[in-house]
Amino acid sequence: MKSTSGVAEIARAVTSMESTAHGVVMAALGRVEANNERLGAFTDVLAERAIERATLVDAEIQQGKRYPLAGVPFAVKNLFDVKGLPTRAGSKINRELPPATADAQLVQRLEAAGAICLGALNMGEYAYDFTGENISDGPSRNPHDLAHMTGGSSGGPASAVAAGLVPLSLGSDTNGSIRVPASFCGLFGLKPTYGRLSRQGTFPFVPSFDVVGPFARSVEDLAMSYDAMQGFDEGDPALVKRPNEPVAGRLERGSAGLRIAVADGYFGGDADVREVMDAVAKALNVTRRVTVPDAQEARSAAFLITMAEGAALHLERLRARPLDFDPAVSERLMAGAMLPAAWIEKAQKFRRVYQEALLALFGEIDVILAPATPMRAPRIGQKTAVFGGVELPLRPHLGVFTQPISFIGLPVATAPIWLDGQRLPLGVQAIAAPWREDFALRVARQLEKTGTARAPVAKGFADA
Amino acid sequence: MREAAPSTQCRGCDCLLVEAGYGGYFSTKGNSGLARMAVKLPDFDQWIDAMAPVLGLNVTAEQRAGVKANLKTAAKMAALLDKAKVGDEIEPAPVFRA
Repeated sequence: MKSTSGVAEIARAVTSMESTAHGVVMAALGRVEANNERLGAFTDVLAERAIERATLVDAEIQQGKRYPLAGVPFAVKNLFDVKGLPTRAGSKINRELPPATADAQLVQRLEAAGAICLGALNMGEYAYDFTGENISDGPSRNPHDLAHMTGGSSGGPASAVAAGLVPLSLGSDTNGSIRVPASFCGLFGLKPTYGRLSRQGTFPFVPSFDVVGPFARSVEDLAMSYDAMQGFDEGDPALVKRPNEPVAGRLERGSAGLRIAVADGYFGGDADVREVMDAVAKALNVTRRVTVPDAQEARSAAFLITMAEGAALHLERLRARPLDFDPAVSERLMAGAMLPAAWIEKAQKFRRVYQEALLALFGEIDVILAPATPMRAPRIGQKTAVFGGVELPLRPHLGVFTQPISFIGLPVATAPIWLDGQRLPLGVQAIAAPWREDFALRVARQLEKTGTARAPVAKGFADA
Repeated sequence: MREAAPSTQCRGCDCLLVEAGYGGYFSTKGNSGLARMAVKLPDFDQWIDAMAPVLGLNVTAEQRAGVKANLKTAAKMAALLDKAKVGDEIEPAPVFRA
């Protein structure tokens, strides 16, 4: 199979025995070997495990067993437990931990569906990052221009899929860590509703915001993997017990019948961003605008809770090994440890009020459209950027459009938009009410069908 | 290009105006009062000196500027949030269920 082959194509070919899982995995491992050094996507490649698993899948298919994700190679952000690897979570400190004794729940579910784990992927330190840079492992690089950021913190998962090393990867999203890299690297990404997919066996960051989800190069691929990962798991205390709600069969309904509006005001962005949003609105034939109330307050509250919960998680490490962190991370965490509890409690109360306001909005609208990032991928090492005519620190502002959304756990499908003449994409968020991943994905699919959203393998990485 | 938000300096004292100067992003209806909102920022060195021993943290000279910058950002955000109306009866988002 080629670098451009997606989840659905591979699963069909392996199931029909036109291809073998072994062949697919060997080709993927070859691409990783040839390209990973310049991409910085994988931190651990598990060739032996993958080949063994592929051989097993092929044998079972020959005996008549059917898998929805037969032979699909995938890899996971290195905060997922992968048996035999220390779960480093992008850090220097955690790579000294003993190897994980079992795979994370979602790795198990994907493999139970016939997919094959190839290894672990680079990420921003302890997921407190929007850039994809990493002081210990080097930056993950944007396959569309290697001098540019992937975005973070799920930088490796985005780099690996955009370069066609694998058709599917898993990341996590606390404040935007799936949506920002999907925007910068031109991928479809799904941040599910908080409490939808099991986080069992993943290293946390901000437990009250953390979710996990997939990256892929088509909406169908995203939906197929998402469907395979749904289901209750007692290993994640935040998981909500509700029936599986498969979405892959609903995608072709597109945006028909959905009430869609473009977020204005806070989500307006600069001219470049507005141009993207205009193209999206035109493609969907959307004229309605909506103002998300108190979005800036929501971002501020998310920012404060992140600082405090992150600091509480890492306090012992900050005491014992402060110099073994990326200084930018440790300084943020130290400050987070010093915040007054009353601020955090106010933020948590505001979260309730804001949630009620947005749920009321979803009584009238099914999907809100907003940009995923305030700019296209910056250059690696860039420290500031101009937002609204003012030069500001880059890193915290990359999440300005994602933070007010994950703050209340809404599901979001990110779709990559390429405008004529642009060398880099910019993502749009299709935001739905809790548990309506299907609405978000249907809008992403509509954008894909119209050709407005697309996620090609980066030039230079696509097979001839 | 302007320096970062000079317009946010309060006239005649060392207050900062919260989050103004971010241009189109934040000039929304809900935030229209911001340009008039001033925050008296505390002495961040004192803050660090008081809290670091409580937490058992050693903030080195190299780390101090970064910690201060982050506290300043947090203080501005908290000041913005402080203005939000949240009733006594509102339950905080994470509610423990026995």
